[in-house]
This record gives sequence, structure tokens and C-alpha cells, in this order.
Amino acid sequence: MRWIRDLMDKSSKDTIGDFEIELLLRGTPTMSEDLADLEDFVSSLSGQVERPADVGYMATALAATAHATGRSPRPALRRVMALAASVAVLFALSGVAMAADGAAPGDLLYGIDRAMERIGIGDGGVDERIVEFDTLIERGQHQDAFDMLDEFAGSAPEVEAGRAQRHIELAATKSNVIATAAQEKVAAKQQLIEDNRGNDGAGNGRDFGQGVSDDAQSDDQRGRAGEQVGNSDTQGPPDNAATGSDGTPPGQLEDIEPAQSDNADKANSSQRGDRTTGDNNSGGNGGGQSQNAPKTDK
Amino acid sequence: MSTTRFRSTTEDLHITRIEAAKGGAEWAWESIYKDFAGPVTGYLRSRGASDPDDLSSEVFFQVARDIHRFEGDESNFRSWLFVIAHRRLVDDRRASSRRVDTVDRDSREIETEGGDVEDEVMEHLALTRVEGMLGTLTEDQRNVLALRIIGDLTLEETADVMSKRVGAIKALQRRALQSIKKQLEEGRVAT
Repeated sequence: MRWIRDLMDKSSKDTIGDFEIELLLRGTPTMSEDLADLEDFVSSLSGQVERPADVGYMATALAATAHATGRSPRPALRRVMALAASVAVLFALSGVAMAADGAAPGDLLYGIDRAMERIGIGDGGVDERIVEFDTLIERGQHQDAFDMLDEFAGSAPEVEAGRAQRHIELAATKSNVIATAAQEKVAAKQQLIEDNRGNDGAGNGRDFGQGVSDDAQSDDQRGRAGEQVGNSDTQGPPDNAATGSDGTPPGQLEDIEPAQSDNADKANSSQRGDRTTGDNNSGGNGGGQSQNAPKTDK
Repeated sequence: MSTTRFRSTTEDLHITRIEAAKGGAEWAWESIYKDFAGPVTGYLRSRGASDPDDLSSEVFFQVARDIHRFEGDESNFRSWLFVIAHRRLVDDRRASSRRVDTVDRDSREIETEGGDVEDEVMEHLALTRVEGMLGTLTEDQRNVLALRIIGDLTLEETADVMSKRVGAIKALQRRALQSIKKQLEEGRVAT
């Protein structure tokens, strides 16, 4: 029924056009006699608008309010943003730290990994080194793997050093692709352990050392020395034969020998002494090897 | 081209006034208060505020407190100002539990005692009659008339303040004016 009323409204002369309405509301004369009363009505309404009093006072007060409240949120916001930024940096750093933690030698982040371990963050100890060792082995960087773990064993606490050594041995026995030099070092370490188990006869050590040294030239003698040194060394000759042409094994061997002989000086096994008695010239060479000892016995 | 340039310059000036007000510039607040205090107070009065002058200064202080959060041009600013005024008005009504749209007659009489041109209009149309006629309108119709005539807002700004579409505001103002016109005609016939 409403539309009927609307229709009647529109058909009546009461209907005001949009344009007239706009003029009326803006207080512009419509020039229409019909709307004169309505104009009066509108102007009596708009006449309610007064000029404000105390403009100066209000302006000062409002300006001060705007100034005070406009300022205060900013430092607060700045603080929040600073906090957010530092949290973000922490997250980023911890992200880097976590990423770096798993890094192996040669990786971009390895330096960060070790640096953080030095200050006590993410120090995986021997476990982490072993993981790194395995990573390097997988990559084929056998020498790097060995050097890294060996270096660690040299500075680590006894228990950890022992574990590191056993891991090297295990890797050496398991994998025949590990460089002979590494095996020789393992052998040397094992010898060291054996030597420390207590024995006597100081002089024989030099004989042994010299014996090993001579072995570099004699396969026959070398084989014998290998038997004494340890089971890993039994794999030595074949590996050595495979890699022997590059000349590295002899060099490595010379590095290792002094360590053996140095320890042999202190405490030597009579058993080994017996086996190496075949060599006569022991004195001079033994002394020279002793001087070299500290270099390898890290 | 020169007209476009001129327009953009004036727009820049308007924005500058609001920007300056944000920074707490006294001249900007003086300009804003001069322009809007009258319409805001008038709007509050016509809509039945218990103390329009008091409420008006409350509105302006809220504007000053919140202006750093305001983003927009001069027209947006007017709408925003009246949104705040309207909210204050609703709060005021709720607080005083006054009857909606009862106009403060005492203040109105004092105010019309001045010797302005409007006085002549008042002779034709007593304020009480205006109030009476407004009283027959719906709440939305009264609000539209107050915002457009007293608040001096455009159609679009009024739509903004009332959160309605422009078409709805157009319909409201037409209905309101036609209703008033009818009453005026009937009144003339009666007298």
C-alpha cells in the first residue's frame, strides 16, 4: 500500500524536485513561491548556528591537546618497534645459529658454528664432531674428516677424545676408501693407547721407531710393523699399494713415527722390542725422531 | 590548466590545515574551531543535547586527541568531526536519559534575542513551531536535516556520518521536507 501513497505524493503538487531540495538545504533561494515557507523553515534552523566564543582560548587548548597526544604514542610505538626488531634479530640469529650448528668443515656457516661453540652456544662436543666427520666422509673429504676429528681429539677431554678415536677407528675399519694416512694415524693412536697400558724396556722403543722408519723402504719389515701396530694397519698395505704412487703415505708415515717412538721411549712393550731387534742402528735416529714428536702428538 | 592548478593548490592548503593541526599548530586549530564550532554546537543543540556548548567542546577535545589517527581530506574531516559529535550526542542522551529531541528552550530564547536578520524570519516562524514540526519527523529524517542544514554537510558527507548510502539520504531528506511543507501549508490554512 506504500507505493500507492508514494504515487499519490508524487502526483500531488507537494512533490519537490532533487534540484530544489539541494537549493533549500544549502540555503540558496529557490525563487519558487511554493517553497517560500520551506525556505523560512530552513533558515530558522540554520539560524541556530552561532559564532563560537573564546576562539583564541579554545585554539590554544586544542593545539596543546593535539601536540601532547600526538607525541606520546610515537615513543611508545618506537619502543614496540624496537622490541619487535630485536626479537626479529634474535630469531634471525637463532636461525643462523641453528643452521650453522649443523655445518660441517668447509661449509659457509662452519666458522659461525665453531665460533658459537667457543662461547658456549650449540656445543655438540664429540657428538657433533662425529656427525661432521661422517658428513665429510660422505662427501669424500676423508682427509679433512680425519684431520678435523683428530684435531678435536687432541684438545678434547679424555672421554670425548676416546670416543673420537674409536669413531675414527670404526670409520677406518668400516671404510676402505679412507686414506691410508688416516689409517696410519689411527694405528699410531692405538699404539699410543697400548703403550700407555704399561710396559717396560726403554731402549726398544727406538728400535721400533727405527724399524718402522726403515719399513718405508722395506715392504717386508713394514708388514711386520703393521702387525704390531694394530688391526687397522692390516688394511694398510693394500690401501697403501693403491695410493702409494702419489708419495703421500711415506710423508705421513714419517710424521707418525716420532710419536710412536716418543712414547716408546717412555714405555715400550717388550713384545714389540723383540720383534724389532733385527735393526741395529737405533740411537741417532731415535733422537731425531724424538725432536719431531711434539708436532704430531697434538 | 590554470584552474586545475588553482584547485590543487587550495586542496593542498586544506590538507596543510589538517596536517598543521596534527602537529599542534595553533593557527590551524583556530581556523578549524572558527569553521566548525558553530555547526557542531548547533547540531548538538538541535538534536537535544543537554548542554550543547559543553558537549561541543568535549567533541573538539576528542578531535584534538585523535587527530593524529585521522587520514583524509577536508571533506573526510568534516564527516569525521560529525561522527564524533553524533557519538557524543548518543552518549549524552543515554547519560541524561532525556527524551529524544527535546530542545532546550531556555537557551534557544536567549540566543534569538539578538538583532540579526534571522529575527525577521523568526517572526514568521516561531521556533516552537519549528520544533513541533521537527518532532513529527522520524529520527533519521531529523538527523539528516540537522546535518545538512545546521552542520552544513554535503549529501555525501551526511551519508558518511550516518553510514548510509547517498540514495537513502536523498530519500530521507525529500520525505522530511515534503512532510514539513505539508505541515506548513496546513498551518497556513489553519491560521
